Amino acid sequence: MAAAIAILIWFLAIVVVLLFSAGHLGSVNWNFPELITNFSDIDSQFYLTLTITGIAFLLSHLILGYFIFKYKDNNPLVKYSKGNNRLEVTYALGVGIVFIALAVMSQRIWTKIYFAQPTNPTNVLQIEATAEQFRWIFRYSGKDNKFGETLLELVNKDHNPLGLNQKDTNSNDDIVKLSELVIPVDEPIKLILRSHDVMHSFFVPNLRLKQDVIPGMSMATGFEANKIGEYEIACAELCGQGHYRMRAKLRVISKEDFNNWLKSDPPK
Amino acid sequence: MSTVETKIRRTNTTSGGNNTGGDNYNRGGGDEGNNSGSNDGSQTEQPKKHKTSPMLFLTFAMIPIAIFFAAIVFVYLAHEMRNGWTPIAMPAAVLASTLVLIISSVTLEMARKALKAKLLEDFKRWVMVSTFLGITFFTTQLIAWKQLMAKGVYIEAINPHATFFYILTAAHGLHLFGGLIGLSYVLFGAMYYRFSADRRNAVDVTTTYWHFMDGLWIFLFLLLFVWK
Amino acid sequence: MRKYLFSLDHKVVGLQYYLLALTALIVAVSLSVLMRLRLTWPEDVWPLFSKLLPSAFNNAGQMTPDFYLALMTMHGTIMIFFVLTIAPQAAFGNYFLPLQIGANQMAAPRLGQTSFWITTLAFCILITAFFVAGGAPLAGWTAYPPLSIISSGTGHARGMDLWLISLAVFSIAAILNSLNFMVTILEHRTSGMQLMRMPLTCWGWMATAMISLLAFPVLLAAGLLLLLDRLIGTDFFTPNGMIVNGQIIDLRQGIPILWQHLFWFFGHPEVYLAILPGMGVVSHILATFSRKPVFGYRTMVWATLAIALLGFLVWGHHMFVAGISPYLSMTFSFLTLTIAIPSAIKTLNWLGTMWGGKIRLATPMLYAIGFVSLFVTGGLGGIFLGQSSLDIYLHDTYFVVGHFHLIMGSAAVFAIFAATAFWFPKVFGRQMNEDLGKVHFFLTFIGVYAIFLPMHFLGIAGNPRRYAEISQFIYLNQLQPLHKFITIAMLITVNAQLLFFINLITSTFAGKKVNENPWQATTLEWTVTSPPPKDNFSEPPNVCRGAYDFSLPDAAQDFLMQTQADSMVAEDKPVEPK
Repeated sequence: MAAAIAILIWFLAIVVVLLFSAGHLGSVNWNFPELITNFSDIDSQFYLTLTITGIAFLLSHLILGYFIFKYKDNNPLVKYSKGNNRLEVTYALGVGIVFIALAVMSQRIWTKIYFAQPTNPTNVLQIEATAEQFRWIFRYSGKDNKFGETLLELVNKDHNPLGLNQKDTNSNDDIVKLSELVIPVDEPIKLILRSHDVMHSFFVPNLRLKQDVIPGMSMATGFEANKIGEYEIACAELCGQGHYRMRAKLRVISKEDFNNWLKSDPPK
Repeated sequence: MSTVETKIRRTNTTSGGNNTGGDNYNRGGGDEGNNSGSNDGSQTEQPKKHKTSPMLFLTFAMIPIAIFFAAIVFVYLAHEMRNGWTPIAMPAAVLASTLVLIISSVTLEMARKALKAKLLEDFKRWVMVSTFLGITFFTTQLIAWKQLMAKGVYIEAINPHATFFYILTAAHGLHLFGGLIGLSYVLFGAMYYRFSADRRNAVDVTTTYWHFMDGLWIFLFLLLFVWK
Repeated sequence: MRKYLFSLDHKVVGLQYYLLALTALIVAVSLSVLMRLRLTWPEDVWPLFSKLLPSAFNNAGQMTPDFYLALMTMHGTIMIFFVLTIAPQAAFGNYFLPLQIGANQMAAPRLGQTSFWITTLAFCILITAFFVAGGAPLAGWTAYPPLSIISSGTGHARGMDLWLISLAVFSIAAILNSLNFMVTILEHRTSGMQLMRMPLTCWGWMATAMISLLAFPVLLAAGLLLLLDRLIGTDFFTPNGMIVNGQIIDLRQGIPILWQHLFWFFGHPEVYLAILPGMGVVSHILATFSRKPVFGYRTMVWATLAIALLGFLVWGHHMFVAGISPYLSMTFSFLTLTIAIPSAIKTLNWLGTMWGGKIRLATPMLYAIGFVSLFVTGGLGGIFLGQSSLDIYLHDTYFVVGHFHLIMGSAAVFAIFAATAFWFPKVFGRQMNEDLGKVHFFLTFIGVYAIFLPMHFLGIAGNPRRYAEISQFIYLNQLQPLHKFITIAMLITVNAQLLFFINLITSTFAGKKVNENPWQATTLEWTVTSPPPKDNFSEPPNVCRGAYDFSLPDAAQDFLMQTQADSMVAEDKPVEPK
């Protein structure tokens, strides 16, 4: 019995480690989606954490299995011990240092993401993303670099999804795209996120990017894609029955293509 | 003085088995510490029928109540920081009700003191006054609501400050109503001179709870109408 | 009728709570089966079931995504509130707390009974939500506004109101029950039962009661405010400028994110509430079946309290990407990883308790070992999620689902299994069938790993949670085999639970009869007959020692009951060699 359980626990530990390594080595389809930005810190931090927790997991399970195997019912010499303060303190310190170190490293990445964004908004391409049940609407400011006024009363699902006020001169050249975000490669983007109804979350797995969108507020997030191609944008915050199909396309194209695309009227 | 003593004797006979004797009476008179600790000393030799001290219950019951209000106050403060926050004018009745509640706390404390000093007639009088003031508080709060509604300010009003006023007064009133039930239990005891250990505990518990509700109301009052 | 339904006996109340939790468990797990089936095979038609509940199916007879979300919401709510909150705390606590501290009853027996019936009422209200117009709510157990404020349409109508009322009622019951626990522990301990001599189970219950007193009022307040937003149109959480179903909702001034703060201030301690009594039970069982004192009893107590306290300081880690200040996120991230320290100490002490012991692998011990394994695995997942930068990617993906199902779903349920098998002989005077128990343990242990481990991979691959199907996304389509695997593993594991129920029912009537202390445990509940007499102790026991005096050197037996005085120990030697 003891041997069976010990072997089960060891077997389990090894299977778990193998499965996670399989993910790490990229030989199965449950790995991270392809990274399309040069900012790879999140991935490396993930693998670092995976290694450390993997060791902790393996150690604790090997010990657990070993104890079950070793200290069977017929053990005549029970070690009478009420604990060992020195061991506990040392261990707590050790664990604490490792975890706090992980936290510090993680915070550095966090700071890079949230505090090192381009401060000068004129250099950055600004795009507005509006979420509504159950689609994403993107808006480019056009030649004048200004977003026109939008009014809720003018919103029409089919003809004027954002409620652009045509009386506002800034609105005339605004480009509205349904469910497709087209961006130039290698260029920092500032995305202004808004919601028309409930909470949504802008999630691009390939960019390791996620930001909740809260109605009544406009949130900003920044990113840069460094690889041309077509990717997917998902909604990651429960937003109603169509949550699972709130999909948009992310098209990363070269700068020339992007400029041509902006000029072609209406953009394809 | 002599009348008081006869009253006490009368009390002891009517209250029956619950009251173990004069000694216990003195100890139970008002000191919470004695109540909770009274199990330890004298009773250990007999099979231990645990008697729970209501004071300890109250102590723990006040924690969730305080947190409940803290949560609403948290929402209030977050709203207060928003643009376009315009507080409503204080309904005049609120000032009156606040005063009434403070006075009722004082009179109830007098009642507790009177009981401790075995001045049972005084005790009875103070409890009656407190109960009356308690009911007055509810009435004045209702008048305050009326005053607001007369101005067209309802709970689902455009002005969230009014909403908070309604919610907080309603929640406070509901909790104070519990205190009023306790008070009527005490009052009933005072009217018929019943002073079992349970009832004397009830005086302590009700008074403490009443003070707590009083303090809570003063805090809410300051929050709603004074601190800006 | 009076004797069983409205009995003031804490043991009856405990059993009633247990049965309620068991009922809730069956309902919640059935819902999750439907959920997984819809998720894995969205095209399937359900000819029979669609006649029973036509609103949940489209014209083609397929389950609607709305119903999937309703199943998910109800599964989560029932599991968290009506299973994981009441089974470890109210059920086992009501039954065994007085027995373990040598009291004849709870401090306020009527309060205990009342809170049970209020809880039952809350459960009935919640279940009613399935059958009202608009059906059960679909906003998830977190009920984020404004999704939960929309008041018309499938999943948004009366069901949502009932959900909120149910939770408010439940909160009141939980607060009352916890009051009872606190006062009982502080005031009704028998002579000699100092706090530091209490079994760790009692510490678990005490920590849980403290958490409930501080956390549930917040849920109550938030729930009532949300209900007011829905019913009379107040402005607490309703934001300005929404278009819902083509209607403009304007001139509102609410702040939806406040709900998240309030909810998680309650919600995070709530998940510790589910696991802390389990930790206590597991420490208790590991010591008993390793025939050793708990390794580092004092540390365990402090770790329990530390986890309870820290649980209140980390709610923000559910909101890293919800638009709270990045500085706030950093603080919460640090505090969250700090919780790993007391948790890791607990793991060390569990292993330390087994180290050098004389391990008896009876079923309660197996479940306890399973708990330790699941706790470690699930807990390590938390190291990922606690790091704010990793959480950007992993937030609201299946990684989270896998993580919390391992640690507060499976581990806590394993603790319930362990406690059931351990205390069954005390409650019925009969033992549960060991063979059935062992088979059940093996199947369930492998089963839960097979279900919840792959969910981590789904999360790494970027599969968001709460998706009714994954067919709409190209990058998710390739994960379908993994989803199928999980569903099949789940069906097998769920069926394996029949063994537990068969065991439970047959052992009640036909289990092996055992004496009053079959496990040779040390705590007070094992000094009375099985089942315990109505008034527990004919005379108050006198406690002379801590709860875990196993294998004392030079003692005549390998265990000393808490009531055994030193003079009754064979030799009078000092008993604390370091």
